[in-house]
Amino acid sequence: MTVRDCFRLIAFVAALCAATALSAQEAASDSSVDQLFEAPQADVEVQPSDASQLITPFHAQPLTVTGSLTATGGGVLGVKDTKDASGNWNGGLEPSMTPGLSFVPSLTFVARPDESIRFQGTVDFQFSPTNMFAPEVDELFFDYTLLDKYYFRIGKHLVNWGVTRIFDVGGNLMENSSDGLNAKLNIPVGIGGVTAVMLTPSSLSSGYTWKDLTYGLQCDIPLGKAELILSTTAYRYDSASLPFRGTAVLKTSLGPLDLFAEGIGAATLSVSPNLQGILSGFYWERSNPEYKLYGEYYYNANDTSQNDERLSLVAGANSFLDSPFDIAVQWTHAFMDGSGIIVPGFSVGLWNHVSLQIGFPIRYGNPGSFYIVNDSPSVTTSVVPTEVLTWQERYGILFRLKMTTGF
Amino acid sequence: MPLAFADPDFPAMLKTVDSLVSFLDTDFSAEYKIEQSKPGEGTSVTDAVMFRRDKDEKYLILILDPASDKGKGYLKIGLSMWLYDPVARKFDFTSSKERFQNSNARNSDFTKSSFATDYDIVSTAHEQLGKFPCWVFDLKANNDDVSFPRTKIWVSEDNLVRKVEDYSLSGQLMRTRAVPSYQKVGSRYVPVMMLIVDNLRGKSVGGKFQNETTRITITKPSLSALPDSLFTQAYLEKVNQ
Repeated sequence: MTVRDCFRLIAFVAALCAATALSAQEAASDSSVDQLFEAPQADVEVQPSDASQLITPFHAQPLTVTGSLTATGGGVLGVKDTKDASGNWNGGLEPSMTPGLSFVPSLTFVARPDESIRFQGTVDFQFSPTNMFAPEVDELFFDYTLLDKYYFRIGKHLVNWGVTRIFDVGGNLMENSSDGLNAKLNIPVGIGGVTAVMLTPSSLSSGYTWKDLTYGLQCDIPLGKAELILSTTAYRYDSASLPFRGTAVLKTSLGPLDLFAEGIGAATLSVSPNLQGILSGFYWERSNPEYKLYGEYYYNANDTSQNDERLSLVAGANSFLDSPFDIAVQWTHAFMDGSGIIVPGFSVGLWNHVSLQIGFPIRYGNPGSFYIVNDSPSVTTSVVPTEVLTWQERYGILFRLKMTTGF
Repeated sequence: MPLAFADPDFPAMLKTVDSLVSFLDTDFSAEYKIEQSKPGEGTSVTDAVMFRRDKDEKYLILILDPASDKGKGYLKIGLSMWLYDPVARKFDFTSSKERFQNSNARNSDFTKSSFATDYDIVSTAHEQLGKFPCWVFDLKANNDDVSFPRTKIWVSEDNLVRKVEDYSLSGQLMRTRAVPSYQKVGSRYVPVMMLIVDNLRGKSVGGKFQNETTRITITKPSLSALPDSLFTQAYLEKVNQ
């Protein structure tokens, strides 16, 4: 018998076993389903309910106040590059530690007097050494629905445009929208919609004019069965900084995979539009147990001389292999100089409300290269503990104790 | 074949099957309890509210419980479907063919029935399913928009689908759905309970293979007219914190 024959035999036996196992499991499930029809409950006639019973809880709500507390402490223990007097790497490494601490109680209130209006606000009492627990309004806004068609949200709140989960490279044109006041109007059009936003800067001097404000417009245009299913375009006019910025996003799904591509452009009144960057990525998740896999690629078209291309991949699993551990790894790489950061990590609940997160950050690349000097982009999975801390260690152990509770 | 059954007009029968569980002349809303059982892992429960407008191929599902998913919403309009994440306050485009909340239910299970338009009849047979004498339709999809390319349905004498087997293109049984009893609302029918067995997912417990199952219980069915604004992204944003 040749090696090839051996493989054929193994493949045949494996296929036979698989077919037997599948037919056995189908037969088992089939019989249990069919049992339901032996003595089923008789069909019944019921009086239709009033749909308002289902809708009203979303439309009217008395004043509700909730709170939360998040306390985080930790640090990175490791080694970092040693530098000479002029700040250049002198070829050595030295032990170092970067600490981090965060303590944020917050209160949120919501009230819906009737279906046309809602008030909501959140106040954070963040600890800082210079201004202990000074209250800071995180958001404070009201929603108003006019003629059941025009949706206004006015106040201090964050508008989230853009699809990025990893790279913060200008795709969210409204990234600073919660610094000041803003007014957003959304009008559903067909199965898409148009959103217009007007923002004030974080502080306005008296005598301001319309030129001190920023304006944005976004159109959602679902293309239905077309290959590219959703197209979003957004524009922002801001006379104070960059006159026009725009993005175009195309999203689709391929089986369980969400895919997107986003182009980011800019223009001034005197210079023709130019492409600032291209972002593309994918996202996949399943829950119970929860797995996440996502990645993004970014090309910086603003400075083509550097060939600035970056890639980041994140994989995570909650309750990995039925253990109490949530695990994840993030790998970020800059192609222009071959530098990067890898952070494998895990999180485990220690006691009620308290979890421990451990990471093992590894930086690679030449001294002064992009990811030797820059931080890893933060990610939305809570497992890789890159929040709160910014560190410069090349290698190390990152630990974080986090307490969260709501009330 | 029993003498009591003369061969009916099968395509017309499929249209009747669809019409009895679709709501083309009214809106439909109800509460859904979705219990997902995984062998050896227990049961997770999701409570949701469903709002449907079949004539426009729209639905909105709002998750009420568990707390970690509260406010999550699924909006389907035609072939486009969005998932709203209330934490990030963002919409993600998703496929209606995919699993609902990672249960064994597909997002497409919540739309109107379309056996007559999306499938061609390959063969029919008569079979007894427990106490129900049924016609069994072997169906093949005539387009790529459906979740499963092959399906087999058991239709009882009252033209209600009692059992469905969904197959892959290669003939692999993917899942089995059972609707032992219906509740009649107006002139339409809604399952009292639907059991979905995932024929591919499961685990051996105590030496016996057990499949993952999802039990969907539907209560408070309503045919009241719903506001147009309900089927918009703006509405999902409005009702969430």
